[in-house]
Amino acid sequence: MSDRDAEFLEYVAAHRGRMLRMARLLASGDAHWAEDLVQVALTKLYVHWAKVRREDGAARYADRILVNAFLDERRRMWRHRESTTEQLDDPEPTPGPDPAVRLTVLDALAKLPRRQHAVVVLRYFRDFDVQTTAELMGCSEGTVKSQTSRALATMRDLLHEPLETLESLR
Amino acid sequence: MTDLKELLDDAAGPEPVVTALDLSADLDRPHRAHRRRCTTSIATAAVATALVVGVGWSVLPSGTTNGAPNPAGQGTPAAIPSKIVKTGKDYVRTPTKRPAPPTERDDPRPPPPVFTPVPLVANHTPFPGTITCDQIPKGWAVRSIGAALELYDPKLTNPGQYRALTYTLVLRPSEMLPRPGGLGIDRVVDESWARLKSWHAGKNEAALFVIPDSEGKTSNPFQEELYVRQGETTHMIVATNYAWNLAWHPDSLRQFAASCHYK
Repeated sequence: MSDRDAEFLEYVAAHRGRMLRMARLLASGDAHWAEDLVQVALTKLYVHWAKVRREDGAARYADRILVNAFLDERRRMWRHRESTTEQLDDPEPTPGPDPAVRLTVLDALAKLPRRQHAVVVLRYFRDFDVQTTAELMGCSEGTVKSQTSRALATMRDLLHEPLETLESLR
Repeated sequence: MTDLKELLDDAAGPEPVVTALDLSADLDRPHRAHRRRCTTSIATAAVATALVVGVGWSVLPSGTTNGAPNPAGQGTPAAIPSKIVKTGKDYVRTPTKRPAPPTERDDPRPPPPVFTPVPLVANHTPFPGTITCDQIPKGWAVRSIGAALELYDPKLTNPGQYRALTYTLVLRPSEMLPRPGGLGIDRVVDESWARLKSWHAGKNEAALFVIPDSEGKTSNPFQEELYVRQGETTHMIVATNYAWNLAWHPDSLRQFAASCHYK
């Protein structure tokens, strides 16, 4: 195994989980799509490994690829997604505190426009500041702020009532 | 917003355990992508190079449509009758004087550039005159000049830009003549055919000569003249390849000449 492969595997072992969690949010809970996004990101990361390691930092580059892969696919009118079948491929629910809340949040994310969706994930899941988010998305800081504002307003509307209902049912 | 962060953390699910299988797959896919990328780069570079060469080739003023040399049709020599000189013992002819390719000093125009040799293809149309060939340089045509035949590239444009006698191929009939020690050829007066023949064109005996230029120098080894005796007869067919830009190997000239015969 070459040094390049060894370094790459070390990075993957350390960061794959984080990347997959971020991809799950971007894919609105679609586990297969999330895996695809991670694979795309890791493949591009490997191809450009020498440059990435030297200049940009692998984590930053991987995040950028993830977001771009997500935006690119959402931008397509005809998405190359698998069609659903009657039988569930992975019937086991994802472990977590409350599946209902989780599904509600993911559903709200799915309803956001793609750039607002990405902004919410980058800012409130990855905790990036406005400047970093703008760099990752390739837009201005003003755009990030306005997208954040609109996304939060939409999320508030989308989440408030269902979460209240869920709370009252407990 | 702390609430939103918590909600997103929960929605993202737990961090999965990365197995050795995952890592192996995560390395295999990029490896394949990397290989594809290298292959594509090489293929793209090859295509781009071919395009550049192709465009450059076509832009050159000397390009022809078949990628062959650009022969221009200027005064290709026909067979010139040899002069008969009466000697005491026998009739001996002086060497036939044929037009010699001019040197650069005589004719400053450039010769056609060297291209990929024109391949030989089957010829189904008999040539005019007494000689015909079963093969012909691809895309070339034939015209009569006296008793001789001149093969040329009809797609050549502006042939006058090239030095004369550098882009045609001439076929002419010839007869064996009395020479010391037996029959010989019009080109050589002091040797018999038995001493000259050193090649074969098909089943026939042949002799190959390099054509000297107007200064008597054989500066271009590709300008060759091949004498082919037709079986055991005294009939000869002489193939003179002035089109040195064909870059034919002697074997190609022999192959072509071997396909030529009297009708």
